Amino acid sequence: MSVETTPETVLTHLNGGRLKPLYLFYGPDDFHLEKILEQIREKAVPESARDFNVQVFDGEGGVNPGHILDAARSLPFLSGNRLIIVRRTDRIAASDLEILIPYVKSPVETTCIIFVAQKPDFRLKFFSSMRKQGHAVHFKELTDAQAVPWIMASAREMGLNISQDACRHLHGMIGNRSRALYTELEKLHLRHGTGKIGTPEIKELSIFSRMYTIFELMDEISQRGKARSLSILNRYLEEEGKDAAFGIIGMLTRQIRIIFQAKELMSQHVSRKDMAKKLGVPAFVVGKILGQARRWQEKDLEKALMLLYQADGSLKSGSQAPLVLENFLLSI
Amino acid sequence: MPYEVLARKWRPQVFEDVIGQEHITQTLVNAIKTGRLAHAYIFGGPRGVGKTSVARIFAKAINCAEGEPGIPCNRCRSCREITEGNSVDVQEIDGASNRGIDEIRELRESARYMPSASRYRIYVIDEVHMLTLPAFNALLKTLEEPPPHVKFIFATTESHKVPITILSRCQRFDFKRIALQKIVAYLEKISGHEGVAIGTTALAMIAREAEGSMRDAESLLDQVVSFAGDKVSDDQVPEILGIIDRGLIFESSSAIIEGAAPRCLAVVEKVYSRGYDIKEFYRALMAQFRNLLVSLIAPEENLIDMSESDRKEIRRQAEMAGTEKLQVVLNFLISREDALRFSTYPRLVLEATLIKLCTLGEYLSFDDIMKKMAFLEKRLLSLPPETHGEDGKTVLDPPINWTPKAVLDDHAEKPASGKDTPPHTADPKGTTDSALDGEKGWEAFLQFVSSKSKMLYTILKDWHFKALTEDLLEIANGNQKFSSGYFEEQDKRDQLAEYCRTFFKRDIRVKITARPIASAGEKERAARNDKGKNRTEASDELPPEVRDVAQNVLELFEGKLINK
Repeated sequence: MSVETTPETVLTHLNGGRLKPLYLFYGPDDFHLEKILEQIREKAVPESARDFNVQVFDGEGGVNPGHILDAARSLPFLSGNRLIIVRRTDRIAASDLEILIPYVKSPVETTCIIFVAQKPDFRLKFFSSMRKQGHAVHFKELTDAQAVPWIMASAREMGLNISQDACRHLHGMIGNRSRALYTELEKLHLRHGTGKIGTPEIKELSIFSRMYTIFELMDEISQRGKARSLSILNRYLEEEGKDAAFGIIGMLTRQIRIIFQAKELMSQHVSRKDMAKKLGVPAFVVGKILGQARRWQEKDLEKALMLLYQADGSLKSGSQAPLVLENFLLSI
Repeated sequence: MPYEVLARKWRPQVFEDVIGQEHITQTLVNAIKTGRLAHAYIFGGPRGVGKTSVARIFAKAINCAEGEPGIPCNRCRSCREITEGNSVDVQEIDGASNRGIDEIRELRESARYMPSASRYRIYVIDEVHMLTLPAFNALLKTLEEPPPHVKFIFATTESHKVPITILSRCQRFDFKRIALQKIVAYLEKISGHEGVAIGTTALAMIAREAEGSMRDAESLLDQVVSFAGDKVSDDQVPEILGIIDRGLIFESSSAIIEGAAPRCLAVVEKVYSRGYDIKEFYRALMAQFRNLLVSLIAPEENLIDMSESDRKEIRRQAEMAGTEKLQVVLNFLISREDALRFSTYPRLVLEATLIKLCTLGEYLSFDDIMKKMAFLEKRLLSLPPETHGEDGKTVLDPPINWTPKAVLDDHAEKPASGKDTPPHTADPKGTTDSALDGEKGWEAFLQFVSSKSKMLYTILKDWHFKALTEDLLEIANGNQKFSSGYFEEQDKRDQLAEYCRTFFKRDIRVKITARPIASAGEKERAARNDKGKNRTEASDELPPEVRDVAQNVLELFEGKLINK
């Protein structure tokens, strides 16, 4: 039975000065992964000795496993530890990885090797033996429940004065990708400092607002807010240019199809979680989609699809994009 | 000294001069002030909005030793070298022509060395999306383990083409298109300094053509000045830039709304004789009707780029036409665009389209035709069989008196009558009398509604009149699914009440009641005519609700009711 180490345990090892000689860092949350890697780099080897004792290999360009072993078996110089980081281990050939297996079984105590892989194939001997011996550390993406508290905590750490609503809005726009969330928080901090941050400030700065615009647009359309939807459309086209029109048609069609499916699933009393899977959307979006599904009649959805089909035809035969889209909004 | 084009001469040299991107420049200035610099930045956005300019200013600002934090002095050696493009530490690379892995490897090699005289070694890669995938991968390694003395600034018009692995390691800023007013204000400043006399209207035309790009706007201004000299009149700009005279557009929209075909033809003649592109004119006309419609639907949203006087005229014309008509005209124009575009004789198509639009008031939209057909079908079915085959008038004669004959006649005759006679045939003084109660009042009211809204008229025709007194109008919903549900929405009821108030000149409460039982009998008759006698014979003995269901079943399966 394999036991996985959590990122927090790695930090405990680090702070207690008991780093293990081997780790396999993997998973989608590369932001968290890099943060911990940075802390290890800072603390494991003193700055004055880093040039001699920290080595980085990259699996991408065809690394020789012999070089990794040589580096691992060298004694630290002017420091108690050596640190070796092997990036993109999943790109190293399986046969080369097997050469490393004997080392995994009896590693050198003074060296800490961290293998970094985004999607390791655990059917391979090397990765499976790493996992079996408890060296694997999984960096999971934030869950919906964790995301908003995480944003709040990161913002507070930065010294940002951000409201809960704004955090929710940011989460709604970006989702659970911690790196993207953090970058946006950093930008907000640089722009506004300690000033109060609400939803408008996020809309102004976030690069993800464009994807969110389609949601807003759909919301307005389903509430039959013609004036507002025209305004949103124009703002979007102004920022993105006329070429964005096809994208809008595509995204609106997708949205309407999703609402259609959600209506169907609603009538079958499918749980939100399953619905997210079946619709192929992140779980935090389902609530919003259900809200829209309640406001739409099936015949209106059909009409909207038909109008979109016509608008698509007009666009592809070279009509003026803004005009066609506006006419669609007014006819719906 | 050789002439320098305006776009280069007026390229911003400090963050303050960058127009319309305050959300970015302020953030960058703060980043420099607080020393929280990321190792890579990516600037995305359309052409001519300041990406490369901001990249250069940023490079100058972080390397400038003399200026205040965030403000390059533009005098020190570093600043001058960057401005002249010969700095050793700041390299500007064109991603479109240096896109291979070899160039990026070279870059990585040079990035290892410390800057020669400045604080940072900065690489500005323009059009970064043009790099090949292996080149991006090579770049990724440097971004993952960036040397502390190196900063990357990428600029691109197509951020979505940059791999996500690169994007996620950069601080990303999206540049916006510049608002029309801001472009106009900046052009005013430039023309003032250059000693060019040009009006705001002309500048607004230039700005509109530039579509949010400052560089385009400056180039267009250059073009106009080199043609017209130091004094540019408002009339010259459309001529030089090939923009269609707004006066002609207003004239044509007004002629269409008033249904004056001869005036439309005169406009086409002018368009032709002045040498405008007919297709361009058509596009401008579509945009005009869009503006008319938007001015009614979203007047508060500031979606029309126009001067105040033009806006007033737009509003006046729009109110004259009404939303429904404008929508029909716009739909018609969009649907006919293809015909014009692919025609060998665009003028002919344009003339035909405009004439048709002038008489559009007499034509119904497809939906209206369908509704009317459904209505007529229902009327025919509701007649006793012997009336079929009589003359048209007899067929249209109402067998039950809730639909006024006058209205139907009026409707039948309408296509023949000219647009110039307004459809509001009722004499306001005569008809708004309180004596007009009861059925007659209802008939006159229907006639009045037909002149105001064809849609509502078609709906109301399907409703049953029950009573009209001093302060109450009682109607019962009709048989059609669409029309019977029409007044479920509050705004539709309000509209009806408003028409009542206008017509009867008093407050009248509209009471909507359920369909009278009589209509079931009507339906029976229809069924008899349609499917034969078998169903009605049986249904007489059944209670009305069961009868309805039974009839639906019979209709669906084309069946027969067998008596027990």
